[in-house]
Amino acid sequence: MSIAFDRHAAGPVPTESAPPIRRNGVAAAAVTCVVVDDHALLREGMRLGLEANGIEVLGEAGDGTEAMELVRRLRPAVVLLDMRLPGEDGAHVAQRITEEGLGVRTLIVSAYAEPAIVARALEHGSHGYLSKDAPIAMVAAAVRSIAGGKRFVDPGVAGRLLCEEGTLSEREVEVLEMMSRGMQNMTIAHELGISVETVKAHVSRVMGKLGGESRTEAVAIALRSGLIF
Amino acid sequence: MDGHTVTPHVFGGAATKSALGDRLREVWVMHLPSTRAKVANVARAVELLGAPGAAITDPAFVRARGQLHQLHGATAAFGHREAEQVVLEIQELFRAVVGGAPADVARLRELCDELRRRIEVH
Repeated sequence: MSIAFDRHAAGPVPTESAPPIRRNGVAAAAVTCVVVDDHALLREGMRLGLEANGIEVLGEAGDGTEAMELVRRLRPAVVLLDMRLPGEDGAHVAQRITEEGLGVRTLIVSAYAEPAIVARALEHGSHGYLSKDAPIAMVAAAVRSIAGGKRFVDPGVAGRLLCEEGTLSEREVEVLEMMSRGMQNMTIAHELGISVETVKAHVSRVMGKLGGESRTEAVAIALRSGLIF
Repeated sequence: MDGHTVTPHVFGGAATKSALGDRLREVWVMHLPSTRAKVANVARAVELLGAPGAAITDPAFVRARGQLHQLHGATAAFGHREAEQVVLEIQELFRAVVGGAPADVARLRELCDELRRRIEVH
């Protein structure tokens, strides 16, 4: 594949090759991204959907090598990566992007929802994970959230990840439920008969595992995921 | 074709009559030749599985599995839920074959025919 392919020059012929950089009149201040998927149909649909939601798609790539080239050249705020790519997978590409220290963040958008695969992507430094059947508005929200320095994990995927892998301990779920009732650390500590420092550690781990930047966000994610009711 | 039609949904979301929905439908149709080719490759792999001495390491079968994954992503993202379910069932049967089970070629053929119909948009 070559990123030198010029879609405008070649006309609207479907191809698996990645098309070139594009700017489509999206507001200059829009959040920018690059879409990486080996399926041209997916890239095209994603681009249309994101642009309709105010995200500027700077370029598209069909594999990790192309992706790295575009990322270095265009410095998008966020790179959307398919998990299954020719050569190296999306998690590995996300890791390379992070290691280059370009300040570019990554979001995996994949048909896979298996907890082990999601966990691998997040462990490799991806800032978010979405299922390919996520509504495009959610994809756009995730891109904005990640561009803003947050993390974003598909609520359904997060729920499976945490439940099937058991990564939230019973105590952490207890703390989470109390957080959802608006209880402060001291109250939770008193209720559970543990120190405030221990509660703080539980809260910190819960937020880390759920990808929430605040107590409220962690609780919201847990509620959406069905982890608590 | 049996005249079955599919109305594509807005990318990954509920069906609407929006301009975006129309554009996405156009994109789906524009890529139909490629999508049909992927389904044809899957169907060929099914026939290979039914042949004597079939091997799951056959490049055609390996390629078909990869293209099934793409079909899964595409049908899911474009909201073709029925087609997505068919793809998922084929993937499940392929996984069973990889796991050592005999190929259910008759069922796989039915599913390929079903998928051929489900991807069509008029």
